[in-house]
Amino acid sequence: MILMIAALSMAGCGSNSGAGSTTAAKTEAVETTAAESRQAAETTAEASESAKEAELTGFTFITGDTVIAMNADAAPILEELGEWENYVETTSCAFKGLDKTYSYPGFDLYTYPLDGKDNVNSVYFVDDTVSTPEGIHIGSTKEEMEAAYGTDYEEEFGAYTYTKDKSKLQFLVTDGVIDSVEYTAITPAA
Amino acid sequence: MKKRSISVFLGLGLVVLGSLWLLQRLLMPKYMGDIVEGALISEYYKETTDHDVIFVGDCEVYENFSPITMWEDYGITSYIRGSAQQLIWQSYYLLEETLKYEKPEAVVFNVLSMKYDTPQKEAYNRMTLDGMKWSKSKVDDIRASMMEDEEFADYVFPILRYHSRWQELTSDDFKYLFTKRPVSQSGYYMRIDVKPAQTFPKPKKLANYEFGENSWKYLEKMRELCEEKGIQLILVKAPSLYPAWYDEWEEQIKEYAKTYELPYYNFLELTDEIGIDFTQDTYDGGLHLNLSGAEKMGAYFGKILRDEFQIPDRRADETIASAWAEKCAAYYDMQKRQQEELDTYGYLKMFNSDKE
Repeated sequence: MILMIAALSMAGCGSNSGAGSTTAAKTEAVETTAAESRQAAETTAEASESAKEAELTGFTFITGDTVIAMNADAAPILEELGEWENYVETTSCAFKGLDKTYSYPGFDLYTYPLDGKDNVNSVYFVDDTVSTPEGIHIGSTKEEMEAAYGTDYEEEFGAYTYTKDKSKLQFLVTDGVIDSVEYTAITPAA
Repeated sequence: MKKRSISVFLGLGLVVLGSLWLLQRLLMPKYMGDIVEGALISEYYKETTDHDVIFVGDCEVYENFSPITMWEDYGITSYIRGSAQQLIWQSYYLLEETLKYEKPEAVVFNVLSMKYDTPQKEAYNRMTLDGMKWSKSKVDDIRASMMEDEEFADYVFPILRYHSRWQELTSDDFKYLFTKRPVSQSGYYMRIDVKPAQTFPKPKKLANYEFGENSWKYLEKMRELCEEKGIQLILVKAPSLYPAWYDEWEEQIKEYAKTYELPYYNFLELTDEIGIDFTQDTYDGGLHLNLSGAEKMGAYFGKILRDEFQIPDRRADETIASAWAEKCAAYYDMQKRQQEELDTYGYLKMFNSDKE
């Protein structure tokens, strides 16, 4: 039996262990020299910067001075946004972790948990007091949307979806007028 | 000599197969820790008596109705064959399978899952499918449920799917290698904690409110199956405040129910009459009812089952009464254990072992 476990582990595809497994904190003791520590820190900083740049290459919503990128770490964003009007947390059946919704004037910000952090899942416009950085809002026309974003979208049932890196921007159009705007993250597999 | 070689070969083969079987059992998730929902489906097979009412559906059935209340108040025998995010085709095949074991008077289906026309998540599939005994219904269920990147062979030999779990084995995996402790009472998942309902955000507009073809196909199959067997199908919408149940969805269900003269109860519209207090009767902010709420639902719906559908009172049947006396004992024991944890920790440690 032990040999079989060993054999299977070597053949492991590195895939997720599947439903029901708990996410245990894993710690690894690493001994490094001071030089290696500095190099590691630099590498981490570079990776963070790259990650930040990668986040910002997708669609971003801007409110005031706050830039909200999809899949971004929600904590600094929430700090910048300040006090919310309403807060809701929900669980999915049989899964740990909370999906959270923060309501601000004009929009709702949704987050999802991953690896101990809350990340931006979507931004949903609740009225016409907010706009995309390109000036499109609830009440804009389909022509204005196309002028701002082009025609490289997927359309189904009046939903026009633009995709950019790890994000989507969707407009629902009824009788030529936009009545819904939502940014959504293309989330990594949990 | 040749016979001896064959015997040795066969013996070795049995040892290898036996070891693989044992290893597979070890590596498969047990759902005995914080997340128990994956253990719900298989518990049905331990039932010793039949049921007059079978529920099928997602967490809105297995958390919102108390079978024990329906028994104690009305003598109604029921079982909730629910599972996490159970999809409508999974409900159909579970029902089809259940009808090979018994024939209830009524089947209750929660309509929320009509919103999912296609497979959603492998993890949820596993929680429903891995617990089913092998049958044609299970085979068809797997085929209907598989995501694009899933393989049928992974369901036949779960070790192919769970082999990497060896890194996450815990003592529970050894403790529950062959038998599991019950996690439900007649399929009901009990929570006694309280978290008042929240003010949910305005529901998002949808591009398309029409239920998909696949959903309608399986609702039809369910209806036809019940009709063929002489079973009353009852459609319900449980009183969960979230996720949103759109008016457009409601109209489609009402229209369908009207067309086929099926009873349909939207309990979201009856919460006052039922007496549900969303400051006290929910454990997760309004998504699901806690024990207090589920017992109110059991009392209310049990009366409907008795008065509108003449579901019989089985309390005079000694065999059934004896089986249900055990169920009641387990139910109140679970309630007591949960109360003790609440009193000691302020939360249910059995579902939050990582909370400090």
